[in-house]
Amino acid sequence: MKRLVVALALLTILCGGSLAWAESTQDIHWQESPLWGTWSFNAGLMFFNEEDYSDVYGDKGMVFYNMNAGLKLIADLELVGHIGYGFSEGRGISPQEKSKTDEWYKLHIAPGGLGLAYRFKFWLDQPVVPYIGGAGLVSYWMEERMESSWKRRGYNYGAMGYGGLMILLDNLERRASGALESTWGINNTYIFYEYRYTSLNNFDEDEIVDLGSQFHSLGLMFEF
Amino acid sequence: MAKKLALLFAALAVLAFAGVAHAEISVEILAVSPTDGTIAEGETAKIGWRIEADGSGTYSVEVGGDGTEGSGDQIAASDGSGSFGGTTTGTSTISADNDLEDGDGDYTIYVIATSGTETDYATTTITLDSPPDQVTGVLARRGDQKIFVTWDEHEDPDIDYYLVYYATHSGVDASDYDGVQASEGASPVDADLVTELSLSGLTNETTYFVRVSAVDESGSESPLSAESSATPTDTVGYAEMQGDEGNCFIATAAYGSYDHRMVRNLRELRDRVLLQSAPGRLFVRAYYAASPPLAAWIAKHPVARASVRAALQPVAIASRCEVRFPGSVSLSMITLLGLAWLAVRRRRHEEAK
Repeated sequence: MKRLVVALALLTILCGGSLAWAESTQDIHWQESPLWGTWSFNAGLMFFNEEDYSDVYGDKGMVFYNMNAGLKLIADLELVGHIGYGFSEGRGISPQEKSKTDEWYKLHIAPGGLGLAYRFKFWLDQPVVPYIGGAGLVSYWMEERMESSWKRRGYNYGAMGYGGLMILLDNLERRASGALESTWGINNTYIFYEYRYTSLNNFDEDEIVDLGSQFHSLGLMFEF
Repeated sequence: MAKKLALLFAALAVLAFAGVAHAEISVEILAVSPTDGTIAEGETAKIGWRIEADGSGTYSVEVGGDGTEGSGDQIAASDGSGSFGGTTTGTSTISADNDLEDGDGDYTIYVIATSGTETDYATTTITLDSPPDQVTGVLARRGDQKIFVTWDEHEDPDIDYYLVYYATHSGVDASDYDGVQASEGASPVDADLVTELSLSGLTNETTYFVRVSAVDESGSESPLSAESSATPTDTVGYAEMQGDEGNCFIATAAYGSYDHRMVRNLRELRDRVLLQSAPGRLFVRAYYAASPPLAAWIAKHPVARASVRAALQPVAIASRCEVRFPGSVSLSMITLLGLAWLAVRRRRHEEAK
């Protein structure tokens, strides 16, 4: 939870700092250039689908950080690359008694993927933009027992689908928006909420570490 | 005549006075018990002394001061003061509780003798060194082949290290804790100045009992803490619960269960021997990369499973021996190779004849 707060604080600082800095810049350019891509960062809580995960790591969700970069293909259809990282810590289970012991485990996951996203943007400066997307994923994972050399690691592949709502910040502060565009080429700045459903079990292969999850996140997106 | 007698008595009186005034007096400490002069709270020290004097006088045994009678605190025991005549020996008792009231540290003890106007003293040092208080908050928690022991930090700033006592049975005294199995060493294990210690290399499903003591810089050890216990147990994380058991794939396929005793032996060999060295880790990685397809084939063929079980049986037993008695398998192998070499050499020697 603490890490989530830090991540959100960083987002706020990044967002606020960018706008404040832009506002102080005198060279304001109002004419928007053609859009060609996006960059976004989001952080939130990832809830795994498997109960076994909760048994070891609890049910409060893994704090997960994600970065996305998109390239506009046709209109508001984008080719989007995703990369992320998250980890959880929890106590292991005695398989005989099905109860926790005091061996601490740490699970790291680092998925990356490529897919398409479509943003339902119908007019210039549309204040709220819904979007959906999907991607193929490969995720590296590693579980380690702390204070020990014990480790398991592997790669899973799967897919994810997501959707969200973006809120345009430019309407709130037009001067800053203009400054960001003239200086950095950032046409639009959004904050967004995203829900993501992920299946990461090699498409239902047996006896595999299932990393399927649901991810709720908040983020900041720049449209170039 | 009377005048002469008066002069004679006067001269004698002056001589006598002068004799007393210049009488020799000396004080000497003969012995201290305990010999190192160190006692703890509730204990006493004995000081043996001797006063040599031409006449009689009084003595006083005092703590502190400057060697003049009454400048220090006279000890409480009845043998702390008295009178002497000529050469006198005696013993005085210093009580930690009654006489050394400023806490741990060094105390200078004066034995002061006074005869007329003459006085002398001798000194010795008694050290009050109380053992630290009992360690509190001791808690043993279970891990996989290990227990985690934690305790509260001791308030005494002079603590030098902690000792962790362990055994597979409950105990009262330090000598009851005779554990030897932990990789960290036999009981008691020196935990340095930290307040937690993992005892590893233990046997799962066996209860271990622990107590902790604190040792100060002078080597005084506190009484043992309250006892705590924990039972190590096999532990799995998410990956193993999901079926990625880091299998001894072939062994699991052959024995049909991840929890089979022989498979556990092989896992122990992996975790406690092979994974501890670079060549061992390389072997484990290569095994995990190569064995799954073979394991899948073995699992489907009963004859292959039986054959693999037969082949793995000695390996699993050797694994258990190596884990329990590190080096035993290596030593046995070297011995067998040596014997084989000798046998071959002898045979060749006989054939040459």
